[in-house]
Amino acid sequence: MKKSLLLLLAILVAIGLAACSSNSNSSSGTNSASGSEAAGEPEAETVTLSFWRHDYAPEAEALKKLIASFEEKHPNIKIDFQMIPNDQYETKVRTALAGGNPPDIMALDAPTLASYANQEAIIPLDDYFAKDGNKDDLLKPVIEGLTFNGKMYAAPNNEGTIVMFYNKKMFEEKGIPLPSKNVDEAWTWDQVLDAARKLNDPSKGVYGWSPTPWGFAGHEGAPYSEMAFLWQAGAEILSPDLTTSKGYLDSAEAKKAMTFWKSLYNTEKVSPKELPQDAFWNGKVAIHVDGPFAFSYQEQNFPDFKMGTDYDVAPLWKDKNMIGTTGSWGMAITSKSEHPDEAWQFVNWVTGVEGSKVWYEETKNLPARQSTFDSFAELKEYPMNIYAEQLAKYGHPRPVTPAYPAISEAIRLLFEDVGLGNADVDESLAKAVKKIEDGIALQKQ
Amino acid sequence: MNKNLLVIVRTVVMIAIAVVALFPIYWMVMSSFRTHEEIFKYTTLSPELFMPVRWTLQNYKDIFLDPSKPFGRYMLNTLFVAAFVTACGLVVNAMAAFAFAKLRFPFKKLLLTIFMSSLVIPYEVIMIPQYLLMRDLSWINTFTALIVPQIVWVFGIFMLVQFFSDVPRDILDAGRMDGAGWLRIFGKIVLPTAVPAMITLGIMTFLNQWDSFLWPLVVINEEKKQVIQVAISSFQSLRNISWGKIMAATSISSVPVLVLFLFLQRYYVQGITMSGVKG
Repeated sequence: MKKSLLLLLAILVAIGLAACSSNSNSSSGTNSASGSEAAGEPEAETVTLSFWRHDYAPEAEALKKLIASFEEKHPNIKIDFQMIPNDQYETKVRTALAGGNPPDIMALDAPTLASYANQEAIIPLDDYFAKDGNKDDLLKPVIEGLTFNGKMYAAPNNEGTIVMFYNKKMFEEKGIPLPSKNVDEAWTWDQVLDAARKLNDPSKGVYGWSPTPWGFAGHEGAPYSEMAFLWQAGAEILSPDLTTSKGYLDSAEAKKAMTFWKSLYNTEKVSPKELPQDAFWNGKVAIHVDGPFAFSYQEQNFPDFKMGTDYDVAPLWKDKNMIGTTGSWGMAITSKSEHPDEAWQFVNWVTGVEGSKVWYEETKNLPARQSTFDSFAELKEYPMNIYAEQLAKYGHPRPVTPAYPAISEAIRLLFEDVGLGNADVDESLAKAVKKIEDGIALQKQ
Repeated sequence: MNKNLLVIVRTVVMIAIAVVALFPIYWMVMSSFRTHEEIFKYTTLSPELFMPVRWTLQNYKDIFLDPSKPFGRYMLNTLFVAAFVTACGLVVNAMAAFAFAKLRFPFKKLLLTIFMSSLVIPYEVIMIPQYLLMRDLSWINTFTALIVPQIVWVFGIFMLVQFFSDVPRDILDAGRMDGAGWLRIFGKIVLPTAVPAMITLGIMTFLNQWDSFLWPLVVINEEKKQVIQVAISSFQSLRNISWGKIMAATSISSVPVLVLFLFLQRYYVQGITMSGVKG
C-alpha cells in the first residue's frame, strides 16, 4: 500500500513538473512579431488583441462570427476572445485592472462605465467616433448612457429595455380585456394590479404579477426593472447634477412607489416573494416583464408555449409617467492597451453600421443604431415595434456616475427590504439614501 | 420487545436522515436527465416529480460535445491540478507539521502563532496581492499559478501538528539513539503511523482543489486551461440559467470525489477519530 502510494506520488510529481514547465511560457503577450513577409513594414507585424466579455451563448456566437470576418479582413490582427462567467465578470476584470494586466478590449454594462472611466481604466472614444464611428447614427438615449463627463467611453453592441409579457390564455379564461399594444396606451399600475388580483390563484401556485424578470436576483437584473417604478411614480434617484440623492430618492413620489411595491408582495400578495424558475413559461406567473432576448429563450426552451396563443407582449406599465429603463452592454478600450487604434478597428467592426446589422440578425437584441432599425422591417412589426417605440419615446438610462455600483446595490436592497422583508418604507428609503451618499462621498475622495 | 422498538426507531431515524442527505443528490441526477422545460414544471407530489417523464441524454451531450467548452478537458485540467496540489501538499505540509510538532528551533512558538493567525485572513483580502505576485513571476495563465500558491495549507499543517504531537517522544529518541536522522525518523517512524491522518488531509485537499473557483477564474485567461467549477458557473449567464447543463455537469463532477471518498472512507473516519480521541 505504502510503496504504491509513494510511487504514485513520484509519478505525479514528475508529470506535473514537465507539464508546468511546458506551460509557463504561454502567458498572454499582446504582441508577437511574425513580420517575415513584407520586410520592415510596420503593418506586417501581427497584433493580438485580447477581448473579454461575459459569457452568454447566443451573443458569443454572434461575436465569433464577427471576429472571423474581422480577422479575414485584417490579417495582421488576431482577436483573443475570452468569455468569463457572468457571475464574477466584474471580479475578474477589476482584479486584472488592479494587477495592471487587463485585456485590450472589455465589454461593460452601460452604468459601470463611469466607474471605470473615472479611474482612467478605459479611454474616451470621441476622436475615433468622429473619424469613422458614425456617431450621428446612434440613438440618443444610447449616447447619453455611455457618456461620462462629456466624453463617450464605449461603443454600444445594442440597446435594451423591458416590456410587459402576459399569459393570454389566463387572461381569456378570466375574461380580462387584453392590454393595448400601443405604447401610448400602456396600462397603469392600478390596471395591472386589478388584472393581477383576478389572475392570482394561490391554490394552483399561480401568481398574478411578477414585476421583475428574475425575482429578487442578486444581480443587475433586479435594479434594472425596479428603477422604472421610481421613475414612473415621478421620483428621481439622483439630483440632476448627480451629486446627491437627498431630496430625490426620499421624495413623496418615491414613497408612493415603494408603498405600492410593498403592497404587491405583502397585502395584495399577487407577487411571488420567491419566484419559481421559469415561472412565466411554466404558467406560474400571469404577468411578467422581460427583454427581447426572451423570445429566443422561449423558442429554445419552451417551444410549445407560443406567442399569439399562449402569451403576448404589451408596453411596460406606467403611473404618473411612462418610463422604461434602458441600457445594455458595450465595448470599451482599456488605457493599458498598447494598440488602441487596432482595438478601435475591431470595436468599430462589431458595433459599426454593418456590424450592428449582423449583431441584430444573430442576437435579436434591440439595435442601438437608427440604420439598423431602418434595415429590418420586422423591427417595425409586432412584437419588436413595442420595444422600439417604447425605447424611442419613453427610454430612461440608468444614472452615469462612478458611484453607480453603490446605487445599484442600494436600489436592489431597498426593493428587497420593502418587498421581501415588508420593511418600513421611510426607514428603507433613508437607508438607501445613506448608502448612495456614502458611495458618492467615497468617489470624491 | 423494548429493545426491538428501539432498533426500529433508530432505523427509521437513520433512514430519515439518509433520505434528507441523499435526496438533493438524487434530484440533481434525475434532473440531469430531464429537458430544461421539465425541470421546474412539476411542483406537486406526483411520480413526475421524482422521475423524468421524457428521459434525455441531451444535457450530457451538450456539455461534452460543445467544442468551445470542452468539458472533458476541464475535468482533466482540474484532476491534474487537484492531484498535483494534493501530492505536493501532503509532503510539504507533513514535513512542516513534523518540524513544528517535534523539532526544537528558535522562535518556534512565534512562527507557529504567525502561521496560525493567517487562518483568520479572508481569502478575498490576499487574492489581489497574490495576483500581483503571480504577474511579477509571469505565472498568470499557467497551471503553475493554480498549483504553487495552493500547496502550503495552514489548516493542513495545523491538523497534522495536532496529530504528530501525540507521537511519543520516546520512540523518536529511540530512533535517534539508533543513529537515524530526522528525515529517516520522519519517513520510517512518524509517517507510517500517520497514514489515516494523511489520507484525511489528502481527501480534504483534493476536494478543496476540485471545488476551487475564484482563483482559477482570476488567473486563467484561456478557455482550454480553465477548471471545472468555472465551466459550471459559465452555464449560468446574464439572462438565463441552463439548469439541465448545470445538473449534468455537477452530477459528473461529483463522480471523482465520490469514488475517491468511497475507496478511502475507512481511513478518513479513522483519521478523524484518532486525531480527536487521543491526547
